[in-house]
Amino acid sequence: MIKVEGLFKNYKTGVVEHVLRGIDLEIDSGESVALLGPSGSGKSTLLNCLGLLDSPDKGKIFLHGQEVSRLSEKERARIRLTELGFVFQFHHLIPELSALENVLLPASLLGQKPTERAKHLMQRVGLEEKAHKSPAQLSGGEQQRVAIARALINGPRILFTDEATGNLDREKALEILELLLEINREQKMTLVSVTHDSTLAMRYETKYSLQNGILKKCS
Amino acid sequence: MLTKEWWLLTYKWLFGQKKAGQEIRKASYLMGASLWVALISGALGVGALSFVRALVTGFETQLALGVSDFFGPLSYKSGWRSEKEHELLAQKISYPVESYWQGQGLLVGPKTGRGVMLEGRRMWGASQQCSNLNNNTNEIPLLTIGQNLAESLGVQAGQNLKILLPGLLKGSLNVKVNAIKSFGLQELDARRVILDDLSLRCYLKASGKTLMERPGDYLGLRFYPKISPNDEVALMSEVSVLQKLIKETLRDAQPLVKTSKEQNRNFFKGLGFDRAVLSVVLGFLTLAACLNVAAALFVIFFERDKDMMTLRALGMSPLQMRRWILIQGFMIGLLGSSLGMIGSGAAALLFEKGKLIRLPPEVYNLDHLVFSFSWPEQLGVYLFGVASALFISWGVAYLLSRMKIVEVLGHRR
Ligand SMILES: Nc1ncnc2c1ncn2[C@@H]1O[C@H](COP(=O)(O)OP(=O)(O)OP(=O)(O)O)[C@@H](O)[C@H]1O
Ligand SMILES: [Mg+2]
Repeated sequence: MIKVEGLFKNYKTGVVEHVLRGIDLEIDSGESVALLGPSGSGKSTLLNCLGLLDSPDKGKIFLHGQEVSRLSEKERARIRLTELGFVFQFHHLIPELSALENVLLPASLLGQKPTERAKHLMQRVGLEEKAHKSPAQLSGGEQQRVAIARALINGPRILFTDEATGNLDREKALEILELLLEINREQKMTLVSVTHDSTLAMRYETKYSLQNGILKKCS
Repeated sequence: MLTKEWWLLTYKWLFGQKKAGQEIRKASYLMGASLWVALISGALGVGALSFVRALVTGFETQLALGVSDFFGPLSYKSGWRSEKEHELLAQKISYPVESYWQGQGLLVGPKTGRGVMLEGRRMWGASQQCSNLNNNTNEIPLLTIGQNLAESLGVQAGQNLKILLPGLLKGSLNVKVNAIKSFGLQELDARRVILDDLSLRCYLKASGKTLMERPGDYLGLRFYPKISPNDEVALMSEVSVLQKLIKETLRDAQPLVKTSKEQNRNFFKGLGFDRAVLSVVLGFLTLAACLNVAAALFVIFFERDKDMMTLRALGMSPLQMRRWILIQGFMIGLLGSSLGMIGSGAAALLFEKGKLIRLPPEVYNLDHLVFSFSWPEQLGVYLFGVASALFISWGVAYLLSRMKIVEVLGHRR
């Protein structure tokens, strides 16, 4: 469960830019949530705060009841490693490593090497044949699938995606979205996705739109 | 915790083959090169430091051997002869002891004559009776002279010379060159002469001459314990033993017992100073070389800042990252330092075998230089190299662990 109370975030680049101006939000476990909004509205900023990649200026974030917005970077890293998964617009795979090794990377940060689980995840994202290829030898959609498998390797309870399909054509984007939603349903894993594509957003249980720093639930 | 798996991945990440079609990192060539530059310059710095230390230590050791060969490992200088010498003699010192005096003299050989500093020595314990000296009291006094002196006088071992001892002896004497030695220092080899005091006195007695006693001619004792002149610790403990003995027997309240190095303090001090200056200069050089390690790490990691921050986003803690970078810097330092030590050893071997370093013959009389790799010293150099690399990579690690994830990964860039 994610709970957000009165979240504020400013950027100071010459002038102060109020990006988030008091966000309140509650997301249930296993829920699929889409964050919509025009470019520059602060969707990524909000997601980064929720995913503990960035800290808000004001307000509180609770993950499964724990107040996390004021934790040390060490503790936040630990939560990211074990509880959260991320898929970005750019896959950010490490080019020198094979797809399978990329998937294993977060597990190795825990000192584990769950090869079977990694292979199973590769199969789940439909890439069991290409586990040993390097990212450069995969298509954009396949790269995103590897990134999804990587995000899932440590069994996170929440998966955050930021424009995960933004670089793909419509057909591929839909496939990836289906995959994400299937995993969301199968594993009762909370899915929070940023997108600016409202048709894709239709597939999510809950939709929010961010405008002028305020979050509104769409019906 | 960073496991073996993790290091395998790291290794692939740093050195992995670029597969076909893969985007080539902007600075991948630079990166490969800078890693080597870092390694080699680190190795050169440490190698130079190690090489020079071994050279100076070898040089010092060798000269100390020569100097000790001449002066004896330990000497006691009093300026007056004690009535109580028999008490010291009775202490049964387990190694040879000589008493000595010094005086100016003139040696005349087939080629030329030379003014020399003469040192008359008489071994203790050996028979002090002339009658026991080969039964031949006509035997002429025996000299030990340095190689350079022998050459300039034009004399070889076994041949005779004339000696004049103004103030000690009227007229001249025949003396025999008993041995020709090389002590390493021109000062000793060209100007100093050791005279067998007993043979001199017996010869004088036999020929009816007498030595004029000159105040101050007696100087002291030379001790020959079986201790390497470079083993300062053993020497110093022997010094205190002797000081105690001399205090008790010769009634000298503050006996000055010195090692051969101390007697030539100015010379060895100069050498020590040279070594210190060289070490500081080369230490800086090594540090500068380690800056290359830093530069390499910067290139490696900043070029891969996206990868680094992806790892952070995935949950690598700042501490884990710092440790990860530190260990890599440490490995480079370890490898570079090891290479440097190996290189230094190889170079020393080459220089020694090839006799590549020539010393100014007007100062030193060493055929060639011997390198001496002393353990504590070389370990210090090695650790210095590793520590510098570690220190520098700590800085890199610190800067990198402070990078903001979202600023690097944000697709705004
Ligand atoms: N590091 C930063 N420094 C200064 N301003 C920033 C920074 N990051 C974001 N901003 C500003 O905050 C605002 C929100 O940015 P954000 O990336 O959250 O928008 P977004 O909704 O994700 O947009 P897009 O759909 O284009 O990804 C933008 O106006 C941006 O200029
Ligand atoms: Mg965004």
